[in-house]
Amino acid sequence: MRISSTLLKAFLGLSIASSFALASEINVYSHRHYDSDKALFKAFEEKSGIKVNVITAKAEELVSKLKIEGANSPADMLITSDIGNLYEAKEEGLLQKIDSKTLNANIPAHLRDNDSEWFGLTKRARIFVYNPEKLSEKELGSYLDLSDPKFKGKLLTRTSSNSYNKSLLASIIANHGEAKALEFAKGLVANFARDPKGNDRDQIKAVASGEGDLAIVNTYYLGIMLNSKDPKDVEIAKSVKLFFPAQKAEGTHINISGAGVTKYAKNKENAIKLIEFLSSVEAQTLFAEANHEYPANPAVKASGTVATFGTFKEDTLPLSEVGKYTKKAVEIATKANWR
Amino acid sequence: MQKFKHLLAPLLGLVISLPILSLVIYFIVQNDFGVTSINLSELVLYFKNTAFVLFGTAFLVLFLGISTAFMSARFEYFGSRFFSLTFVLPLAFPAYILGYSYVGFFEFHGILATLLSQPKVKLDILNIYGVTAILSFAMFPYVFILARVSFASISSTVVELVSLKQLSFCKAFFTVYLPLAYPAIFAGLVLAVMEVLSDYGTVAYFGVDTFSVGIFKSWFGYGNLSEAINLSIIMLIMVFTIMFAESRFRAKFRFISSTHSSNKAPKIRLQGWRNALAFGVSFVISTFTLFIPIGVLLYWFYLDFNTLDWGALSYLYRTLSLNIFSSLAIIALAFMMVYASRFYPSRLGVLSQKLSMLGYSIPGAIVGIGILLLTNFIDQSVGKVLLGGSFVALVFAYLTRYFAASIGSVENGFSKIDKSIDDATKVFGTDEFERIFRVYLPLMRPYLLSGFLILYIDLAKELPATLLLRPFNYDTIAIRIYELASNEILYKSAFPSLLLVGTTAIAVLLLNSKFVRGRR
Repeated sequence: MRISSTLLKAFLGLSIASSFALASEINVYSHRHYDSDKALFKAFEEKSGIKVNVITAKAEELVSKLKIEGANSPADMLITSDIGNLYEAKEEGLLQKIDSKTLNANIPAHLRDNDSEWFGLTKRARIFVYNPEKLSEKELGSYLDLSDPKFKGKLLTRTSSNSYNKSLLASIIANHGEAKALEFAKGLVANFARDPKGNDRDQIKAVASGEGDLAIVNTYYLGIMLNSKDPKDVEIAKSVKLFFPAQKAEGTHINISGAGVTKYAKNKENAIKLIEFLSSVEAQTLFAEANHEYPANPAVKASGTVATFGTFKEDTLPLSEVGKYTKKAVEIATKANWR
Repeated sequence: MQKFKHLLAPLLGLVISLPILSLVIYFIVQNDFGVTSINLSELVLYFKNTAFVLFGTAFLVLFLGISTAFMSARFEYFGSRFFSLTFVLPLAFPAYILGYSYVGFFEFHGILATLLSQPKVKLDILNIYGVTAILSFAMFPYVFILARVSFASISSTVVELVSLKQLSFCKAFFTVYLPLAYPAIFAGLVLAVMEVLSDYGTVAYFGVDTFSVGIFKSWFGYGNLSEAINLSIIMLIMVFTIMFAESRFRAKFRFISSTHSSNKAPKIRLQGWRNALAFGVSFVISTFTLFIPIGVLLYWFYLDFNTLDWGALSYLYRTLSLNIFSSLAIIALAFMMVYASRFYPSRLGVLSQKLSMLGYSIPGAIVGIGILLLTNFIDQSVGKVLLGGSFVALVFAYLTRYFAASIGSVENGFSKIDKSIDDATKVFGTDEFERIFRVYLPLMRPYLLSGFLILYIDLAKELPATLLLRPFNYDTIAIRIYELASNEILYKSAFPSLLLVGTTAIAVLLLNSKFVRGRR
């Protein structure tokens, strides 16, 4: 019995110790589970002497966790890999305003919150990948054009519950209004080559295999396939072409990874330091090179694989507008039977 | 003291189901019972898909589980020892990894196409039939593990009776052996079916909208956690009803027999075509459930070989230590619960035992939310952060979620202990603790070990609750696999997945060894 009670004490002791806020510490809840982030946190630790503790999980779960924990939450900072959840966190009152000249200088206005509660750190573009043997570049245009019957039986994308598709639809609502967005969604569904399933890679493969002719995917995943150690991945990724949609309209839809300081942060100063570091030229260069993302800081040029994709006009509608319509987007997708 | 002992089972059940009860309380306090964002036609679709996947996997799991368990327990044939290991291992895969590896095998330019050098050869498995097959492959070992112990403990008296009555093999199998193993088979089936119900990752990837997809659509899609909880509670009520119906059914047909007689029936050594048939069937089953996915993972591992991330080994240490501690704790509590309800029975005990199993049927992330609500409530009442973000919270979540995984095996074991043994030990008046350690634990050993094995495997691959509740910087192998898979860098997930399967293989071999099992 004695052994077990000592064990129990050690166990509880561990939990108490881990909840103490040390002066040189920062606790991060992050949806970004990339090795590039681990490297960046390490670089920050070495530079600042501040220890970075991380829990990764899905953004929706982290937002719910923050909400339930309330003032007891150990988290100082939230990082998501899409705008929808950042916006939701702000709406739920889980974040706080940050006054940082550095961040305002590093991050363009449309990639940060009007009230300075969150800041974009990286960008991904939602693009078309198409089979050059079946379609020519001339036939492609904006997202809305995809509802044209000429694409019947040719289109591929993931389910509407995927956060990138949700944000894309939300941006269409913000740019063109609900009615147009519903029309788009219905037309898209009518043109599907198959029911939405699989991940972004599976859509690219379905284009390569001829199951469909065009897929809506993120630049990020194409970058991963092009750099894969699996020669088949590279072969497939090279056999398709990419197209930046809506160049003559609003511009290509982009989504962000972004960060904010939590409302009850015990290490607020450290959290701001970390976000500032992540927006710096040094960190942004690594984001772009190691993880096939576009840097949010305009001082850093796209590099590596994404640089080979070429330059494009991006939709500069403030992302808070996109966030606003995320739930509406789910409704519209459901109405259009986009599963 | 006697009175307290009668309260033991109900109390345990209450504590274990506290996180679920927190959800129910949250559900009542929110006072919002509506399911507004999910419309009726969606609900109908979820039910239809769930029913198909559920019945499909139940059928396949029973077929695969019973046939493998019977062969492995009753016969000796070419490779039978090897197959008794390979029949367990599919359980070590997180189901979605099994799904990914099968897609990698059958896809366009996939491994099958490469093997046949026909790049166009592909089979689209991303559909309801594909997911049903994958889930069955991943879950049938539950029935195998539990039923094998039962088939193996059939006494020679039973076998002699069968031959005296000159029953045909089929008749004997269906009228004698199968009923004897019924509690174990059912316990295994319950585990498989409940895990299928709570699966989200695999069905979502395969594009099949089941009930749990609905739960996550409410939560992730509409940001409506309370609706997700409402839906989970609907699911809980259905499972609870089915479980109660079954226990009524089982009460009517009690097959408790003193199969614990000291002379167990020996295995039959198969000869000639029977030997070949048993080998053939085993080989085909293991090819689909283990060799193909392992082959795919090994190929991916080969691609990744020069860029291997040896850091995965540090995840291994964390996974194992957390895992072994939690499994031991849970199996000990399961033993306590079943022991208490056998010797100090009460109606409340029966109810709370059923309650304590519910955590298994709802998605792990929802159980995690229950734990968060509970620990946060406690932390707020004591005025400081005591449980939030601690290992205690995580182990508690495992307990609630996986108690069912261990109790089936323990119950099955106790059901095989004749009441006369209880009376005999009481007559000799030995002290209760001595009775437990000298009589019941030794008798229960194989059942406790198989229960431990299931827990160990389940916890090693557990993802949703660990994701939500683990302390800072404490990543397990399952989390590493998930990170790589959700970045869609599938070939890199092979190394940690193989580590998971490898450690499971070692665990199975250790638990099967004479050293642990003792002499037979």
